[in-house]
Amino acid sequence: MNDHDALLALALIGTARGTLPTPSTDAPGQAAAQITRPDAEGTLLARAALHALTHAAGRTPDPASDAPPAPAPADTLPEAPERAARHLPLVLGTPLLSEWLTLCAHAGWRVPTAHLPELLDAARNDSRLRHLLTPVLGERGRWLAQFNPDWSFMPPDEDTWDTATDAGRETLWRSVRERDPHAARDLLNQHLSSERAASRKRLLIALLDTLAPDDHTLEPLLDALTTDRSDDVRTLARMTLHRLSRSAQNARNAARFAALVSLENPGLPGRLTRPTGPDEHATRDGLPDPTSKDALSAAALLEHLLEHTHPDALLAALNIPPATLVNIARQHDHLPALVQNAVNTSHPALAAALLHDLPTHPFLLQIGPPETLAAAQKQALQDRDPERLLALLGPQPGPWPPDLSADLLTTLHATCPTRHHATHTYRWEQLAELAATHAHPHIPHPGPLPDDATEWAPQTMNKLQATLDLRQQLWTDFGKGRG
Amino acid sequence: MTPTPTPLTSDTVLALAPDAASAHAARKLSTPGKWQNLNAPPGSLWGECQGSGSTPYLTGVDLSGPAFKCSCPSRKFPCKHALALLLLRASHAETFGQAAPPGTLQTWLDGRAARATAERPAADGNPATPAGNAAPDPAAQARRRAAREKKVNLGLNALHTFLNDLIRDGLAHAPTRPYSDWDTQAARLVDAQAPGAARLVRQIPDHLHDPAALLAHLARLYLLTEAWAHRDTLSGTEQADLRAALGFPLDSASVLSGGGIRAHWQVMGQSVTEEDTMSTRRTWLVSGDHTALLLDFSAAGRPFPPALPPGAEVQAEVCFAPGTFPQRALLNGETAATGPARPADGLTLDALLDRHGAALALNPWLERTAHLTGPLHLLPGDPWHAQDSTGRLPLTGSGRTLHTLLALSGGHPVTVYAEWNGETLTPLSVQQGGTLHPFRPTVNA
Repeated sequence: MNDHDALLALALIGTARGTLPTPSTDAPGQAAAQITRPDAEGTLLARAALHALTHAAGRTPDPASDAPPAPAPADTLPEAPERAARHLPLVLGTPLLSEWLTLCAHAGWRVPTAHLPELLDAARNDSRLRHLLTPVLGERGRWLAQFNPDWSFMPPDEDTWDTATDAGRETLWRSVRERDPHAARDLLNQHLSSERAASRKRLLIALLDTLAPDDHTLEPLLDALTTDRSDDVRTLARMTLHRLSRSAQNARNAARFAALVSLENPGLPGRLTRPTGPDEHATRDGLPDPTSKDALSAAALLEHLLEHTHPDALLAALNIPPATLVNIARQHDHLPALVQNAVNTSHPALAAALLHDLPTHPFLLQIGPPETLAAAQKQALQDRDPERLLALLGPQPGPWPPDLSADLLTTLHATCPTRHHATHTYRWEQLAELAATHAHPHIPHPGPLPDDATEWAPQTMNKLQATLDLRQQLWTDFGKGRG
Repeated sequence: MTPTPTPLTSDTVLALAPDAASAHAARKLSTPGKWQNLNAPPGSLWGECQGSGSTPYLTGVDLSGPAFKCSCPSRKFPCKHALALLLLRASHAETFGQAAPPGTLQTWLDGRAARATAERPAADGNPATPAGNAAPDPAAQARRRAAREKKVNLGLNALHTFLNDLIRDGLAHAPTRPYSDWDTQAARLVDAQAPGAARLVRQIPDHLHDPAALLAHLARLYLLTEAWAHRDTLSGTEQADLRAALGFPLDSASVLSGGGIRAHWQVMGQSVTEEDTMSTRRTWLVSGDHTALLLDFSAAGRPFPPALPPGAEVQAEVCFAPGTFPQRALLNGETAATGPARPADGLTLDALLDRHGAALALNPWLERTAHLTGPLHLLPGDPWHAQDSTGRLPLTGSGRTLHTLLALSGGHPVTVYAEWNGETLTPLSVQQGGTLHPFRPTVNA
């Protein structure tokens, strides 16, 4: 036992229960032997002080053990230059961060290294930022992400599928999907059936978000999933097959539709013939067995088919134009189901036909002919109807065309709530907030507000203008033109 | 002629914020649309920002400090308007005009310039006594000192007895003592005007699970009681070390009147620690072989006074408090930012520990020293380590700081400025591409 341990042993039991140890003969021991106090407690504490100080003052580095991690691979993308990077501390934590990241990706730059941890943390807390951050992380960011388990949603490459979390697999799949849709389909074919239910669900949602016509090759996999153990997975698989126009599920539904509806006289409500024979695919297509007591009525079956069969398949089944399909839905009071179908499948022709019945439906306008949408927006601007403008502009991704943006700013200016007339104030503010992040930034400032504007109106307009100015500066600094 | 200060980057400006809320508010204000009349005449910035009132606030920044003035009622300093003005200068320099500031601001700027000129000759070895301070009465001073010494005597005698009792009973019994024992003892030392010793007593419960650390901590306290009893045998600087360890307030007037070193100081970094309701901000300055530690205190969540910009070089007069290892220092007069800090060579970890040991040999109560060290490899883990050819030491700091350091290193060796407290290294800044990248201070308990 060395001197220090002997002192500590005595200190633990107390000097009342033992005697002071004799110091050793080495140099520290000899120094300790010089220290005596009238009482044993004092001598012990003073010698312990000497030990503590010599230990602290004589400390040497711990022996090196681990090899340092392998350095990050060299980056291929240039770091965002200072003129663009300077905005980052100001937009972090604001809705403008998405735009900054998008501009950075378009410019072919990567984010400044010093901001990587802050951005990875931001993406951890906001999943919408993840796919925006992925293309601008650079090699350094991907390398860094492996050192923090919280950032495991940023997987470095495809080999890490097995070790990634559910969220990590989703992000990995989305990033592969962006780069190489074919490789992404291979990944699904390879892994989806062996994933946990929660992960199958995540991946199917990701697939739905990014569905393209080429995904028809995934049909066998999706077909298998329509009999999955998980209710959610079955529903998602059916939704995906619904959006793939040439899928067997759509073909079966189209055949059911053709058998159900007879078009003897296009002017009159078509007669419905409810099938009563067996339908071996009913359950996998999300329908109750027609021979069971739960079988749908003819009207309910029509509603289901109008909503869950791709419009192309429905039109082909009866060889009719979209207007006739709309006619059938209207005659049987199932327009909402068909609208839902048109919106889910983003079917412009059906949307155009439906707009005759529902000329102001904001979602149909979004997928219908652009000129109809533009005309509706123009009308709403002329009517100065903030409620309608919000409905029409809300879903439209930014940046909006310069003309539309400028007109909207003029409308906001003209409809500013005043002390005498303050209707729609909440909508007006919402519209101003929407315009701040979505309007084209290169538009002229409208003049000052009238004198009788409510007190807070100038603040809202200033905020809008300030955000547009900042975005304009962002665009300029990222070298993005006015287009 | 005052050298032209380099414009501050957004990160540096945000580091000047007295708290996170100010930084956040400033970011929201830093768009030209919220300002009227943005101007940057030589050496200063000014602008008018529309607040909630009818008249806009008039905000000015003297870039030589930087120093701030704003007509808003905020008690934070610098206020969000002044910070936003600096942020705008960093991000939207082109929106600033050249107009001269209005009368009130110009008077303030002229006053600062006049003071700066008046102070400069004082650096030639002829320090002026602080104006307006009457010479203290020596007799009254002696009486106050005697009264304090009497109180400290009583307090430290009681502490001496308490420590002896602890050792006589055995430290194995210490964890079973009620918390009130330690609190009462600490409160007595506060009453005895020895807050430094009280602080050490309050820390005892932190070591109860580790007998070796507990004994070392008690031994350190014991050393204080012994040194106080024998203070007459100590040299003047040793007595100063003892007084500082006991928590006697620093006699700023005499430190400042003792004269200082007027030089270009590199602001190497800042750290903040919090004990009870008191936060302490440490700012480390380096000039040649001199290292100076500036302390700022903030009680009960009040904002700190304005900070020197980390990562910058400032022209300042630094007066060291007396001590065997002079480190604690005060600034005399105004400072002027002169540019970014310049890179230098770092110590090996072994040399760093040597320096720390040499300092401890002079002042056994020294809590921490700071050094430029590197090149170092970073080893992430729990805990993180810094490693060079001489070995490795544990690394501590917020996750954000450590990961930023790792990101900047890219896995290659880096040179950092770090505090060493005998246990762990806390990185405060890193040399990166010829400049010093400071980390934002995070509060450590």
